[in-house]
Amino acid sequence: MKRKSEFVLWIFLLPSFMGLLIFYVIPFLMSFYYALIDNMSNKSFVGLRNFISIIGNDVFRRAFFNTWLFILLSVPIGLILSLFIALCIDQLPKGKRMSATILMLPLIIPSGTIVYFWKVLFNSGGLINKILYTFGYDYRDLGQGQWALGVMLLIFLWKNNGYNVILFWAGLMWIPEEYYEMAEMEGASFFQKFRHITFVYLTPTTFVVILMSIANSFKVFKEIYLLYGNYPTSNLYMLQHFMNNNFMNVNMQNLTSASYIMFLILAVIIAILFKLQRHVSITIG
Amino acid sequence: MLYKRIVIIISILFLLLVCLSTAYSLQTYQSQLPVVEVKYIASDAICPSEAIYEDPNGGYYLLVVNEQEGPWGKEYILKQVFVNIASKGSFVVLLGPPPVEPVVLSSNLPIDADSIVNVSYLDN
Amino acid sequence: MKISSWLSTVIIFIAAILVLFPVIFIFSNSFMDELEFLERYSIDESDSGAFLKLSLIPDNFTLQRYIRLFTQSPIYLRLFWNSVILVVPILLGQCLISPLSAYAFEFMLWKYKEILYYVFVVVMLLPLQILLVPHFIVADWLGINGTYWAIILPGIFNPFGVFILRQQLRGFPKECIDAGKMDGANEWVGFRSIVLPNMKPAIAALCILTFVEYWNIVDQAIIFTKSYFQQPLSVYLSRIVETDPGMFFAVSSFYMVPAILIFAYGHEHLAQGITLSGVRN
Repeated sequence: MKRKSEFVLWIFLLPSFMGLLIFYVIPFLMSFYYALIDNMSNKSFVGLRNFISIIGNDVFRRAFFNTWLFILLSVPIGLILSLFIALCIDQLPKGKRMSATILMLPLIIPSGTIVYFWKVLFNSGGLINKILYTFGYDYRDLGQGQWALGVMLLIFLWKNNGYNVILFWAGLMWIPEEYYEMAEMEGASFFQKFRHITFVYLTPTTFVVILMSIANSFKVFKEIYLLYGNYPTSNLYMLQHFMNNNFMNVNMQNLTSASYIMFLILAVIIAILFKLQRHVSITIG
Repeated sequence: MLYKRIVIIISILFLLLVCLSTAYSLQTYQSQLPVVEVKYIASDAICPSEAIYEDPNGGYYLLVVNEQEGPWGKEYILKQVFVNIASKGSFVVLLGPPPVEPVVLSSNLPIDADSIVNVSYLDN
Repeated sequence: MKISSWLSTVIIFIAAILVLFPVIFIFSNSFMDELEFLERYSIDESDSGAFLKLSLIPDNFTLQRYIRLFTQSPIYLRLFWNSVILVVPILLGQCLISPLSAYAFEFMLWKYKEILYYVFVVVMLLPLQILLVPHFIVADWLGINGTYWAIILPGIFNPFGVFILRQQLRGFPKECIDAGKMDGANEWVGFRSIVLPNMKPAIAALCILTFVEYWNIVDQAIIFTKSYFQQPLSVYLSRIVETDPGMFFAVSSFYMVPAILIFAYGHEHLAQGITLSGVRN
């Protein structure tokens, strides 16, 4: 009886599993093969030469640097902002659900529809520049130059904040009221309560927020592409621009070695996060 | 519950609206295209003089019909093909091989290079 | 604690306005006609001190744009249908395949199933950039490069579906199923009659999240479509800004409507889905 039902369950799992293999895992491994050959016509094995050459590639370095800089900026800032807003929602006397719902809205709005708004807001004749001008600053196209990353950060925050807020809000709701009441009775101040209860019990949620923020920060490419096309200003040239453009040139070697480098780094980061989370859970638990 | 029903009703109306307008605009779009009469030029390279257009910068050209991918599938677009001509009368002789594609003789609406058109073939 | 709740209300109010502002902007500008659009949005860059006159309320309210969109511009409608053709098969596929796998993962007794699940989760977390090359390779190998299948098939098998649904199933009382089995039901009936009805909210969440993801698709669409007419509207919107900027607002609003409708219908499910993705072991 047990054997048969196990077998049926395997049949259930089969489509997903096969799909994952065919469309994700196997091609991923195959692309490693592409990273190890010199070009598509010769197909001679060159070992790690592609990886070494791509690390030396200036364009790759720029894209790599930009991408990680963006992640390093966007994840912490997004975290703090969404935590703050989630705390505020928690304090609302009423309308909590509605606020959370409204904040979720940017997630579902297609990037392409909002693009022109961002363009109009940030370009030379736009609203932000108008404000800057009245304060005496020189106006410039905020999409180029050094502030471009900041612009993208704002757009990213606008779009993805809702996601994190929901995560944090749910996490906050899980903390039992009794903990706070006990702390109140012992005369804890607001900050003490925050540090010892909220912060501590929010840790698992925080890990999830960090993880999802990293995953979401790669998606900012959508907005950059829709605003600036294949070759944005050098501050905004992300890894995916690099990869897309290599697609156009059918330079599979660059593509695959870049993917694998990113993959390795991401795998390490995810593994570290998981380990940390387990460690912290045990400490709290 | 009521609110969800309203959303469903609006969605269905929206879908209907899009379907109807797709059908409608497809039709009007097609009917508004210029209709051109075209003819293949045989290898003897003789073609009627209506087919020849004069370029303001000098030279003569024909408008030929190319197929291309449009939003709704195949569509026909006109392209310029410059030619050298021999005589000029009610019939014109082309120097060099004639174009493979059919050549525009006349049209019911103004046309130019890169116009999208509907095609009707003239025999002979 | 009255101060903090008052302060919070103000902050949330500001946040809500910031969040809604771009959307309202797009909607309201779609009611401006050509003249007003030109007056507001074409400025000479060299003219110092001249700025775009952004505003939320059009001077002349007109439906002209929408009329044009619906009767005279088949291309936008065609691209809209492209998006639909892309999204619907993916939703159907996910709804067929993911519940089965989630059920299987939760109730299987195999020793190594968590390791397999872990593979699913890792693939799900990988950013699109890394997965693009594999998708391209597979599409090439299967010969579907340049068609929608190159986007639809990976979409149907996106492990996100299995993940979300399984999270919902964690802690589902196994006794129910065992009880059913003792009455002679087999696994399939257990799935269909016992578990599936309970999964409905999670499936709704999955549909909404998947819809949003693929309605908004940009990356894969650029790579796997050959001509502009094959692109879904999500990508073409950025081109409209160059070819016909006045229509942009109307087309954008038009494109936003299905997303907003789905959001309006299922926002609780959406919130639940997001929350579920945050619950770990």
